[in-house]
Amino acid sequence: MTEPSTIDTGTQTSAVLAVDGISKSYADNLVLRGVGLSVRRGEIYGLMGANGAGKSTLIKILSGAEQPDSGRIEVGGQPVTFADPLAAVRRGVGTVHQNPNDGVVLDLTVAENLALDRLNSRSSSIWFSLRRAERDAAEVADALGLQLSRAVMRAPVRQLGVSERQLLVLARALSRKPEILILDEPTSALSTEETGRLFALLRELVAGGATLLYVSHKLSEFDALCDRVGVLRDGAMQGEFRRTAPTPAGLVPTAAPTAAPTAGTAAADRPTGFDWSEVLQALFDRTPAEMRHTESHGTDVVLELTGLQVFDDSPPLELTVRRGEVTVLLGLLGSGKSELLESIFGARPAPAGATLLGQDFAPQHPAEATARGVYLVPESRHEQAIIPGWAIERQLTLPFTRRFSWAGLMNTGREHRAGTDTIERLGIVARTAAASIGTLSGGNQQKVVVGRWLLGTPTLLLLDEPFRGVDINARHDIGDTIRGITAEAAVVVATSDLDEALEVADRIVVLRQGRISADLRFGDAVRSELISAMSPHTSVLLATDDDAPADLVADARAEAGLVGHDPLDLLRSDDHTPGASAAPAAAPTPVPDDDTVDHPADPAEESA
Amino acid sequence: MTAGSTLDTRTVGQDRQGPNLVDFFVRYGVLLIFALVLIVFSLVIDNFASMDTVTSILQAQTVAGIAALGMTLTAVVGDLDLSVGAIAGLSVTVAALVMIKYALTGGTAIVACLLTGLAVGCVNASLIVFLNIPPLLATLGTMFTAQGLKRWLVDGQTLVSGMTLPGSDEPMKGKFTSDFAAIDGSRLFGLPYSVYLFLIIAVLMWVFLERTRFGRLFYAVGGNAEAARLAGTRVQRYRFAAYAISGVLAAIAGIVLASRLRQGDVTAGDSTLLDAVAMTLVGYAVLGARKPNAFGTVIGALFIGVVLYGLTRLQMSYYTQDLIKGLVLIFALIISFSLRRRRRRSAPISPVLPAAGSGA
Repeated sequence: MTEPSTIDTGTQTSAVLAVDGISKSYADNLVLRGVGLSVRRGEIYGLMGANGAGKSTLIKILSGAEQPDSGRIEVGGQPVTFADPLAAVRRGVGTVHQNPNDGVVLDLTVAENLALDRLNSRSSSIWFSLRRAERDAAEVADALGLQLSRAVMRAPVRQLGVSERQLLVLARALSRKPEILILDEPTSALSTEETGRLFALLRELVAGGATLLYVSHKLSEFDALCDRVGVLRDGAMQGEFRRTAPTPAGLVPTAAPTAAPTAGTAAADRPTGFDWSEVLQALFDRTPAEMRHTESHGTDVVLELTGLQVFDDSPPLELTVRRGEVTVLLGLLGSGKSELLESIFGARPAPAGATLLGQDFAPQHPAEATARGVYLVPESRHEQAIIPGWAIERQLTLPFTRRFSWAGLMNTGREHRAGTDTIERLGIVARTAAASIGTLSGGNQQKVVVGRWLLGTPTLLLLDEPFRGVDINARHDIGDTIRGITAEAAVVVATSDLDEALEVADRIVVLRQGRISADLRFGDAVRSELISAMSPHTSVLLATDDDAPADLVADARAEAGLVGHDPLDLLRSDDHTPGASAAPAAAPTPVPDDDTVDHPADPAEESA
Repeated sequence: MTAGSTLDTRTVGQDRQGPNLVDFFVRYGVLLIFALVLIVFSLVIDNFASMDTVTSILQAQTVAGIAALGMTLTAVVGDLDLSVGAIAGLSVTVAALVMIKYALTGGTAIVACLLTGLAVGCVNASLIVFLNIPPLLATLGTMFTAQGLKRWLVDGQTLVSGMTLPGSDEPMKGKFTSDFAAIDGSRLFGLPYSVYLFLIIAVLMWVFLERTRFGRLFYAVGGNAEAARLAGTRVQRYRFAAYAISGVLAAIAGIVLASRLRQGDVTAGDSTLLDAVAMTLVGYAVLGARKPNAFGTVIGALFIGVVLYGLTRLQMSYYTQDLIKGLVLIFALIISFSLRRRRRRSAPISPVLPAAGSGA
């Protein structure tokens, strides 16, 4: 590994959060080995790390959910110990966890959730007043620039989508006015606009004196936000990297002519914040191989939809899915992609006029779909796929108990062998197939959920957001798995993340409000086109008037410094096309999960 | 996999710690204390270790035990079936009506009881599955209804052979048939038939839940119904089946009870519900299962039976029985819920340094 470009432990005097020599082990496993980092006041510190690097353990320790075995935590120069999360909150350390359900009460309304902290406060009246709760909630929501209609205010949180829940959790955390805010992949469920809004808000907070520790795996977000990035690997800090380009506040890429996009290999030339090749080398301990794939073309038609209505008021939709290629359904939250997959799978009213391999297909129940080899990996791993507490092997055989039983009696030996095989085949990091699913990291749990269907005979594999909350390595493994089975089965991946789409797709179908707004081959896919096809998305929390959001969003994004910087805004450069990327020499930068590589080209293309 | 997996951080031996005392107690606590209680009683009580004791305890627990096995099944898919006691009581009344009032055969009585149990079980299941009523509340409703029905059928009277019902001049001629009475009255190798019935149902239930694919799917439905559905399980059928089977088992419990009482006692089955709840919940604590399970329910039945029998032999008043059951239950609940809480919910993922390439 080359020496990190910049190692900066921060000057002790200005460190508002300093961590030194934190070690933590569970049983005989050392998860953190003397982690040290310091975050200065008013800075946004990015923390990167692959799955199992110790990121989440570190966050748990900093938020008071776990105690370290050794080491010191200093807040504002004073050593602290957090006995529990509340203690951390009292010291001004707020945390937004990755799973939004951890931060909201599902059965309470939006207003009640937002007002929850005030309801808990001793000074509040013992009488519950809906009006006051809604007023309090509006104030809290205001902090995040959310404008809530009365209907939304009174909706139970359970009815909201993941991204709305995420925004709520953020709003709650912000309402406590934390001095240090720890954010664990806060954008994993947010749309571009919401992300832009969030970033603008985070900058405002920092300008107001707050300090942020920002955990993510999206390089573009570090680019857009962070002043420094620390890389955690194997429970130890591998290096800290300082921004090599100006901060994004002043960074609106000029339309400076750039060299041919495929030319440079020097990542530092790019107008992005960090020297990513160095960072990634620290992250992976090697230069990651170019992750781009060669586009393959579909063969025979597996699924044909004619006249499926995703929503009651959307027009009938026509779609043909072929074997031999990965079809990506790209769409923001509310575009109907989950609904479409669930309809095909028989989990909601059956599609009209669908055929599977030329035969009528209208499943009334998932059991009918699975019987014909149509499998769904649902959107929410915990709520929809995993049986809590079950061993890996049992999770795997759940849909196929009949195949693993004789006269009704389970053949546990065969089950265990199947589990062991799957662990090996998918590279699941687990001690044994008999281990509980709870002992696995998120990425590995997701591999189990995907691997479950490989025990069957897939004809059509539907995956809804298969990469959500999954680390980079697991994401590539799952991507490989998905691409690997296209010979046997047609594969449809639904995602709201353009980068993910481009990583696995041979064909990209963009869905907007229940209708197909674009249908492109991977080779023809252009970012700007895909983005405009996805359309400005307004969540129910953000929706105010019909015309307002676009402007608001534009403002928010300009504020966020996202204009022309956010990768989603940028055109994909030519170099991504299969021909170019297939040749290793043409691959300019080793950036696996991000397209920062495309930046140089974009202004040129836009100005051209 | 491709190169990606070589980068993977590996998990090694989480959980590989020495024997943890709390873990050990969570797992074997109930069984250990059960054994301890048996030893102490054997030493303190004359003639405790005898066939008579075994017979008394088993027979005493048979009725609630059978009902508890059905309740265990409903607990697996969702919630406790609160109507089992009422169904058992109703079943006693039905048996008495059939044999005493209508002077029909024991076989007819058995069929009538089973159908009654199945019917009430199906009502439970329909309320839960089709009308979306939460299981605890639905079964609470049928509990009241079945209890009321029982009283209404016999005008609140205890049916005894030879008695005269109000509004009728003739005394009833029928009586409990000898074959029906034999269910709990006759013995094979020293144990009443009813005890064999209990043990057979227990073994069947254990095999069903632990070893068959159906049992597996029952647990899946209870663990995460949506995940089970999206894996192709007909969730509603399993939930329906659980409550229907529970109704039938409660009726069998009622048949045993009727065979023991040999009259249509209007208060019959009143204690069955709480006893069955206690057995099922004590079962959670056996072997650290922390979930309903057939083996645990049987151990729960025996444990409670032994404690009650022993203390009764030690001149403990009959009225303290509920107090003792309550304490045993609370003790078991602490083992299955509170002690476990201190444990880590899931072992963390721990990385191992990659073998190669850490050059820095």
